[in-house]
Amino acid sequence: MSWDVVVIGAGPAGLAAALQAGEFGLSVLVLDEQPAPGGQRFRAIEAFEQRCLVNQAHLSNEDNHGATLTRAFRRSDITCLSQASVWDVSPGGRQISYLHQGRSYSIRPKAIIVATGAIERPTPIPGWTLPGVMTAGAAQILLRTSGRIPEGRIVLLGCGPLLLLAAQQLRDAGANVVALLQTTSLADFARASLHLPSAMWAPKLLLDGLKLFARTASNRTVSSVRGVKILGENQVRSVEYVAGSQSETFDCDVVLLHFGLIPNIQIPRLAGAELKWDDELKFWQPVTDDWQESSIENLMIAGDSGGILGAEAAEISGKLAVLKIARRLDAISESTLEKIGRNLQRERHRYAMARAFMDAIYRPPLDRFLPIADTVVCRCEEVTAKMIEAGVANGADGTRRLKARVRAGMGPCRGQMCSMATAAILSKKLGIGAGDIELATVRPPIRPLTIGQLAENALED
Amino acid sequence: MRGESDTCSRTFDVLIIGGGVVGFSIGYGLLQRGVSVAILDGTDRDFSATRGNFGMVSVSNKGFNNIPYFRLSLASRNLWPSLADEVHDRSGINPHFEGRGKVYLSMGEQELADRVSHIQEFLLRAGDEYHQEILSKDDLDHLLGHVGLGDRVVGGAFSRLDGSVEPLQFYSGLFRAYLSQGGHYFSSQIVRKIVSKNASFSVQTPSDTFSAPKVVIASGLGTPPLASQIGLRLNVRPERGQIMVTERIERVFNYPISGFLRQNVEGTIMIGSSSEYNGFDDHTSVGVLTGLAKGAVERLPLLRFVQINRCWAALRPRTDDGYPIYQESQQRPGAFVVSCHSGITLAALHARLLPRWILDDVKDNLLQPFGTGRLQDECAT
Amino acid sequence: MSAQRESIEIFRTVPLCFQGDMITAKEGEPVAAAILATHPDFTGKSPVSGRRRSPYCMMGLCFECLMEIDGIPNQRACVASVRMNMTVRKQIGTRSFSAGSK
Repeated sequence: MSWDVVVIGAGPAGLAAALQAGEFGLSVLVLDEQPAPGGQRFRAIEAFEQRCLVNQAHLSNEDNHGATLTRAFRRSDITCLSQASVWDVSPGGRQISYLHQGRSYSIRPKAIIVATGAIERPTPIPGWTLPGVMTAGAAQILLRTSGRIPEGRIVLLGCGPLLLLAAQQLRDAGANVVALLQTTSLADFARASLHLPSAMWAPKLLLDGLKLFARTASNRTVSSVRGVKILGENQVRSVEYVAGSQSETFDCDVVLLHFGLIPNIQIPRLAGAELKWDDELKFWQPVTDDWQESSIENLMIAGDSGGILGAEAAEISGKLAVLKIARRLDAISESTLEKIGRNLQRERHRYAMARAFMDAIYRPPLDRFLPIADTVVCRCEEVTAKMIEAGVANGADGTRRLKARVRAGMGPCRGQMCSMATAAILSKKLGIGAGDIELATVRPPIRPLTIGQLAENALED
Repeated sequence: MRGESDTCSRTFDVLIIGGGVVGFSIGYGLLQRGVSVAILDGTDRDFSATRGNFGMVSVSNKGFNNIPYFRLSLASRNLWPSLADEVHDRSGINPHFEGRGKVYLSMGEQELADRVSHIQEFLLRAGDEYHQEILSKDDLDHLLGHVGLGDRVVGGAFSRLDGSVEPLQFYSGLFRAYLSQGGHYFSSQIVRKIVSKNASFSVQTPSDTFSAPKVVIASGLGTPPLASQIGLRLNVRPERGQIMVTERIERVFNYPISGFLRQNVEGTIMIGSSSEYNGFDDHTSVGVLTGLAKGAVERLPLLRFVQINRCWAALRPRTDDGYPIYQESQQRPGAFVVSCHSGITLAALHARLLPRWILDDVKDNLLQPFGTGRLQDECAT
Repeated sequence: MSAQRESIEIFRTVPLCFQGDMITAKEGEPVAAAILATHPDFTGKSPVSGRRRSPYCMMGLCFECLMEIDGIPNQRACVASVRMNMTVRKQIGTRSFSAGSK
């Protein structure tokens, strides 16, 4: 059979989209890479809720909502394949290939909703490949999925609300957070205040952000940090940084990095959807219309993979993404489309306004964190900034030529960790705006796949 | 990158339009003659067979129906070791040329029988220069390093004529060696017009004009419209080839396997390569890739558990009869077209034999059969 | 790695064989989490440089936690969940052909 809709990702956007599509009577398949629905925001939420219950611990309102959403999804008759990883979407978005329980399948649904969320912006800094360095999000996932916290003295480094949230959660869980090094400066706050009036439309998000600041300010916090180096031979030993005119060193065992979120656009890129560069936020995002449809017909982008607006907005865009599909398949009337759609669009807009404030505070400090010298940029192929610069000097004046010259992005992560930083170096060296540097082509398979699995791929006609 | 500042001279002895492996091989060869050379390259977005190819220096499967093509390929293969050494010395980048031969695997008795008669016929046509010998399955397995051949492999052959190279490293090395020898390179130059005047050509791009008494068009799929400007009509069609490459694993087989498999020095295994005519579409397709994977597993079952790192497609520039074209314009002497889909195999020949043709008007006998005349003749008949 | 301050642990603990040693893991947790908790030094070595690596993103993106799980190489240990009696091995440098080809 051919599915009406395949939803990729079971985070807030994917779950909301699947439930909405189910309500309209569409046949829906959800492909999710995690063992249980919830996405990263509500990772392992069912188990977490149970743990909180047993321990009589308080479940936050957000988590409560996530648990409710997940429960509704579980109770629905929607087919969900967990631990299914999508390794290809064909150009034009007609065919999805995925791996599930060791077998590969290619299917051709009538429409696709990409709800693959966000990733933490990979920011190469000296020493970031050392054991002991993880992302702040990774630490949150450990906490969530197994109730474990990294052993030893922890330094958090970077910027963005999630960094503060992670610091808070880790400390609450009993972790030994010795320092919070923020790249954010006072100037960022000043700039952000310009966005306050529009941010007031979503006071909850705003308030959460400010509360976080207040709570973490009491910690050993340093602002306007730059010149960061993670030191150690086989393991993290210390972090060196510059703040003001002072250079300081913190001894530590674990460094958690976080430089904000960027949309996970691997699948739209594979499919060939049009992207746009956001020069304020310094990332690429898919071009979508008011109904979350990308430049490719019936390829919808919902949630943070279409632009970082957070979990609540993700649910709205997830529902929104279904409407045009349902209309095209004649599952809803034009007036239903308009009625539901316009409401959702208004709500979505409110979140976008509030987001501008947060974004302005946490502008990625990319100019101060452009990798240089021996800093590893491509972790898989161990390509340093110097090697990339040499490649540019040897005639590589674009990402494709550069990849062929220095192998950056040719490893198993398919450039997910290095493509942004590589493009940034190229941009600097060539004196071209980052938005004018096309990212290197994404090559399938974007998830692990063996030759044997491909050889036995089950191809649906 | 514009390559060079706007203040430098735009007049050279030879202009080469096309910065792929063909253009750079010719450019590098020309520099050895002490002339000034400029390569005008397209953009990073252009189709590039150079970036997509498999890295075989193929001889033993070339020219069964066209022995001059076999001789051309063999001549190039024999020139390869010295070119590889030179490029290595002058660039510091090792292109890893290996000329130890390649293996053919036959699937089923019929394929093996066909190979036996194919080799006999090839020997008759090409004479003693040709080499390919039938080997038993055991011998092949031994030769390949006891990798364990699949059940359907019944035997095969070995030819010492073939070789392989790391195509990306070769190109990087060639590029650097070319620059170090004083070659000029201009990127993102989309050639609009080639004008001849007073025994000199001026080549116009939206931003610049370059001039030289000699012009070589080596623009792959972009060749036909440029060639027509110097009075040469020819077709170059895109032939899509899909390839996949695996994770790095320890060296497992010692020889490339014809048509399918090759292990790079860093340990990745390349699996290729398909052939389709699909216009200018350079995307991969799961169906074709599945076929490649099946073929690989059938031949070397151990590959079943190896991770695929990357799949890609590239477009081979294919002439009407599949053979190379070396043609000087009769209307505009001094303007040349070079077009082939075997830019790696023929790289050494291009570097060593084309300069005499371009600079001294002496076309080597090996090149004689590969003018456009043959294509017109074919059309006439 | 230590356990979160929590009075009652609801995870069922199961044995897991890591590098030939038996360790205790929590059923359902990411394999990478179990390994990090008991062997925080490193989980593998880069096939390019041989340098030590350990899990970085924990969400399946960075491929730094590739390990051999139940005889199958190149598994992302951060997206694999712990089950009863798993066998996990580090991948050290360039993989040899025989590993996992059973």
